[in-house]
Amino acid sequence: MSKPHFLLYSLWESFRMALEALRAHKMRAFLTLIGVVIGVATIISMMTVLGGIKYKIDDAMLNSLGANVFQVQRFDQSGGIQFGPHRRKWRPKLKAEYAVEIKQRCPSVKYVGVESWSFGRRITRGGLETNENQSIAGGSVEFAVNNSRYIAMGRPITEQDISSARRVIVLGFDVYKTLFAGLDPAGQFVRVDGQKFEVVGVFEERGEMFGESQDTENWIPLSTFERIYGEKSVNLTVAAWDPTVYRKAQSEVHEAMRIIRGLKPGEENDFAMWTPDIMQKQFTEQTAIIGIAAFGICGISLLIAGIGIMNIMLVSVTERTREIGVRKALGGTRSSILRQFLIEATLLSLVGGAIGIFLGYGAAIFINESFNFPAPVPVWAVFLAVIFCTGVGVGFGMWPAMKASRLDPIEALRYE
Amino acid sequence: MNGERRPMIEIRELRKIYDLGAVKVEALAGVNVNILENDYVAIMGPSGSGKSTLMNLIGCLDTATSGEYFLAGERVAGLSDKQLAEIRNRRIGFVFQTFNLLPRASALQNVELPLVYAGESPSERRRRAREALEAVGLGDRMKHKPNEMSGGQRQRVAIARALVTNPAIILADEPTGNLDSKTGNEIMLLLETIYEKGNTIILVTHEEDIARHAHRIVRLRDGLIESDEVIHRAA
Ligand SMILES: Nc1ncnc2c1ncn2[C@@H]1O[C@H](COP(=O)(O)OP(=O)(O)OP(=O)(O)O)[C@@H](O)[C@H]1O
Ligand SMILES: [Mg+2]
Repeated sequence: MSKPHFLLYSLWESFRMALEALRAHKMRAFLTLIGVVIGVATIISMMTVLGGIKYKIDDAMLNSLGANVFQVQRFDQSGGIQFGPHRRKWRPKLKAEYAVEIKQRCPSVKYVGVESWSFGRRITRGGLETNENQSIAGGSVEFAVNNSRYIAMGRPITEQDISSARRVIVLGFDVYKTLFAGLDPAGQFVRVDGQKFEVVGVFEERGEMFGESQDTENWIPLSTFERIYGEKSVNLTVAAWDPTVYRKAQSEVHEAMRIIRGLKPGEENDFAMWTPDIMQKQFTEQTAIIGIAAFGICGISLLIAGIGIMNIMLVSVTERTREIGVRKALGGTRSSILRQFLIEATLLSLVGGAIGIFLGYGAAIFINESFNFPAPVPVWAVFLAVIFCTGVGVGFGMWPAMKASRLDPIEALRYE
Repeated sequence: MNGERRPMIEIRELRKIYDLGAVKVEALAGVNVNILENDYVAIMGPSGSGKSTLMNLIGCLDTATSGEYFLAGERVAGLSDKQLAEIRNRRIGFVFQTFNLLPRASALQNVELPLVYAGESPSERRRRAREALEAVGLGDRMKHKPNEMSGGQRQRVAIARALVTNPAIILADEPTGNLDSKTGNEIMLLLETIYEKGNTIILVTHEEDIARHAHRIVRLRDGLIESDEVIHRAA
């Protein structure tokens, strides 16, 4: 008598029996599941959010610097997450004159813009004022193009503004909203750090990213800036002629900067190249840290969940000792009992996983909506969650299941 | 039909010693017995005489300390766990004093259980379980859970479960022990019809009235067979 479908039937049967056992103890099962739910929900939502952040950052990288543009700054970018005290070596300032020299030395460079920043300023007009969160950029004429900013109203800062150090300003959309609220600001005056500026233009609105306004940047002529704030270290914004010489321009500028700074061969750079590649890499490293943290949380909750599952399965095996005896008396083999309890543990874990996927998905949608991420839940994270849960179920269910399968049938039948 | 009956169970010098560390309990002290195909045997004896121990050995639920046991000519001692499970599944049907039904499963599901381990398809299982339940007069109780049935009905479910794989041997350890005498008698009548279909029945009981349903009474005392008599029942 050959039974080709034996395994299939008995698998299905084990599955059905496991479902019934779980149904009989819904509350207990649910409590056991919380760990799995948290672990899986964490991994699903975090992976989705990280996908969203990455998308946003890629997008921001493309938008924040104009096409074929990169920057030279005094310091390397400091990450959002730093371990240990963050010390950086003193470096000489970057000077506005470097722009001319770079332009001369680098044939692939179309132009070099200069900008100098002052952060955390307040802008006022009559009784109205903004928060102390405005950034003032002293910029050369390339500022808008280099930063992919568009003028929504009025005009940009011009060469004349710069050469005669005029007190003119192009406002960010935030200031415009707060101080003018729909009025035409052209020819009106605002005050920055007590200095009076004539408004000549307004930047186009950019909106928010990660809950932070992207419209707090205001532009004044570099010369005016240096008169008010002094000669700070500047950022050099370099544009290559076209995409084909973009990398070439980067290496030319790198070389030129080393010469300008008088660095000997082998000596460390005392300036930093901010290319989209490098910035992206740094962001990726940071998101990787968040990812690892998420995996850590997930791992710990799955470990706790696994111990919970093991505990509940041990209880279940003890409670059902007599049932195990009956099954053995009726022809249940060790392996069939083992399989039954393993399937039960795995099912328990997978039910938790399913709830976790559901909740994680919900959380991800919520976060995506509120931060305006376009990222979908990654399929691989769902697969990973299912695999993890199966692993936890089988792994932590193994010992109780082996205990069950090895019960002596007579002892089991006699168990009260 | 007595003439050509083959031996179903042959037991030689069977011993079972429980080693409890400090003491050794000799539950069976060298039992010799032959039981033929389509025999109907009642095992009797005082409490602790080894009746259940003997039944468990016959049912391949336990292994003897020494001695030989042949089931339908096959030596049981050398069989693997899997082979023993198969024997319990195909050749032996157990009926217990405490019924031992799965509490969460319906009558039908309980009766299907041995067929699950026999690897039958779900439709075949259902068909045969129905048949078995109808045979014990529970055609109208298939969906009931054990706690929704009387003791007598539960024991009928257990008998249907014992019968469903068509085993040659039915082992019943005090099947009427938890039932009143009227219900007990009904169960005995059911066993009678099973016997008439050709099964071998071995029954443990404390009650002479119940034992008289059998055709042979084996009496144990202190792990040994004290007497073995064929009885002639009143028609
Ligand atoms: N698992 C065990 N461990 C130790 N001793 C045992 C075990 N099972 C049975 N015994 C002992 O073996 C002897 C025979 O027990 P058994 O259960 O076979 O008796 P019985 O004839 O079925 O008695 P009863 O009529 O009370 O059911 C008893 O002395 C009992 O104490
Ligand atoms: Mg007994």
